[in-house]
Amino acid sequence: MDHASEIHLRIGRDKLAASLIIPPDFPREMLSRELCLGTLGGRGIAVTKFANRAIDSLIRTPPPIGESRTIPIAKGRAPTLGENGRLEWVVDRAEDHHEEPVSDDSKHDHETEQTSHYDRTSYQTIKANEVIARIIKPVQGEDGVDVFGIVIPAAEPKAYAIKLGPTVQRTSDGSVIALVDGILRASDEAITIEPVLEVKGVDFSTGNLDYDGDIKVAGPVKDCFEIHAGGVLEIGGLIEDAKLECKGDLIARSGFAARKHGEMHVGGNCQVRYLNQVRGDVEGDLLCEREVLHCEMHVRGALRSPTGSMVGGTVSVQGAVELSQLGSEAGVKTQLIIGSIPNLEFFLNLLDGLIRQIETKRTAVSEKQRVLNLARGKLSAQQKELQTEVMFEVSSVDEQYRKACHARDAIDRRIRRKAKVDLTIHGTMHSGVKLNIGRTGYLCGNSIRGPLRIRLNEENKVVFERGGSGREEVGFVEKLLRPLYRAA
Amino acid sequence: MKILLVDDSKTMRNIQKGILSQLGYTDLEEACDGLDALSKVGAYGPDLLLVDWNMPNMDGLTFVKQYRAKGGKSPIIMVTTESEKARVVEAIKAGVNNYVVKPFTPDSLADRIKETLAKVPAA
Repeated sequence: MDHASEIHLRIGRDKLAASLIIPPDFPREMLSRELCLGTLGGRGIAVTKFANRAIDSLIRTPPPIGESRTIPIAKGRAPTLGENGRLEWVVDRAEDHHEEPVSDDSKHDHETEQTSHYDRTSYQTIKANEVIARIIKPVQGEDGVDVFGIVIPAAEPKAYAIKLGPTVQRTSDGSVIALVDGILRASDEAITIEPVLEVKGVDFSTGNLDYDGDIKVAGPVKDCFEIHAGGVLEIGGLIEDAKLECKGDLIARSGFAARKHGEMHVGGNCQVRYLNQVRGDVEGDLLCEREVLHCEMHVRGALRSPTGSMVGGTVSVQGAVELSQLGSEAGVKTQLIIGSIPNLEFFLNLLDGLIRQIETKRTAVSEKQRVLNLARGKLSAQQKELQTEVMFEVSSVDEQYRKACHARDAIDRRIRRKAKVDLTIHGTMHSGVKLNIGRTGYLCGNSIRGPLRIRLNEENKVVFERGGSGREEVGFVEKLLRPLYRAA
Repeated sequence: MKILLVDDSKTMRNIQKGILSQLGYTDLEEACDGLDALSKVGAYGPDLLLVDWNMPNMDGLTFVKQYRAKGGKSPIIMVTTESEKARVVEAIKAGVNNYVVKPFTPDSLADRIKETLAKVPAA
């Protein structure tokens, strides 16, 4: 009977462990080191120190007859797992804490425990050359070995795969760097920087927008929100009682229906469907498709609304004005200022006041001088000193007067050069309209049917053209419109 | 250019300061009479002096004599109400370089200053 065949090996499925099985009835006297080694060798198991120690121990203290014994005889080593590549954000992404009730970007007043959700930020602005994230390389795992001494290779870790847009770049150290200023757009699949900040609408989901580039708002801008754009601002929806500021053009495809706080400050041209109760200024031209209603505006370029109207409010325009209707049949107080630059007009008025003061002073000093001159030849030493003082005062007053007049003339010339008088009305100028041409105010007592044009002719005189005739009628403005005042 | 203004009337000194400032002279020192002026000339070292005649404590003429006696060589313009010829001659003899009679206009004082400085040999 071949008892050795009854000692057998059990090898784990993963081949990482092998045990020698001693059956209960195997004669113990047959148990030998050689038998064990033979059993291992027969299966190709590598004989290691561990195996030698286990066999030695078995031979020294064999299990009693009738008792089965499983002796671990060989151990393999499982391969260790490496680390897949991953992405580490360097910038604090706005969307990571967007759902938080109180985000870091919200202006939180710790004293009053109040948070302004208007100031929440739903986007991340990035500057060119800013490090956005780092792509961490995968870490290789360690190979294992089975009981047969065969290497078990560690699984290959995966590199982090993400698509980088043309506005970002990966450097050799794995940094992801922005190539342009813009807004960070990131998902699990891609990272890119978009030069234009695009949002669906401006409300509590976005908070106020403040971005040093172009902004596109597809939908509406809700009450009390503010938008500050370093470039062009384009708005597709209705603008409610909001504040808008842009250094470039404002393109509003719908209207601006402000109530109390609505403001706009446009660094370029402004194109809008209608304006209602809006305050502000436009550096370029204002193109309005429909109405300019009850606005307080200053336009440094032209105001063009050939099919629209201006009703109520005060609008000053440095360039040409083209309207269908000015004022309304209901006689709503409407003031249009042309041929004027309000902020320069302010200084002009200050200087006019100063010149009047100097003139008064000059009259008083001249009178003192006249009295002293009457006594010339009989003046005491003290009176002679007084006369010197008066002469100096006259000289100072004259110098002040000369400087003030010079400054006034310079401002006046600048206004005349920059402010255009060119008003075209295709429809009607309604009664109740106050028209300021330069420093002269007129009131339209009776409605005047157009088309009409009021402009300066080559001699710098205000002329009136009716019906697009091109025939100048000097002095007709004064006949049709009642002069209200004329500044000094 | 350092200029010392010697006059007991602060108003007159202010007038002179105003004219001199317009001419571009800003390093100015003031004295209220002849004694005050004598105490300041040493430390200040003026390049030009405008001196009134009638002042308390020490009049302008006495000051001019003492200044010249001590070796003061800077030009002096007497600015005064004294317009009699004898007085003018007396002042010139005492060492005054030019003479401005009150009342004067800012332009006339400016002309005298320019005229006086033009005659001073360059240092």
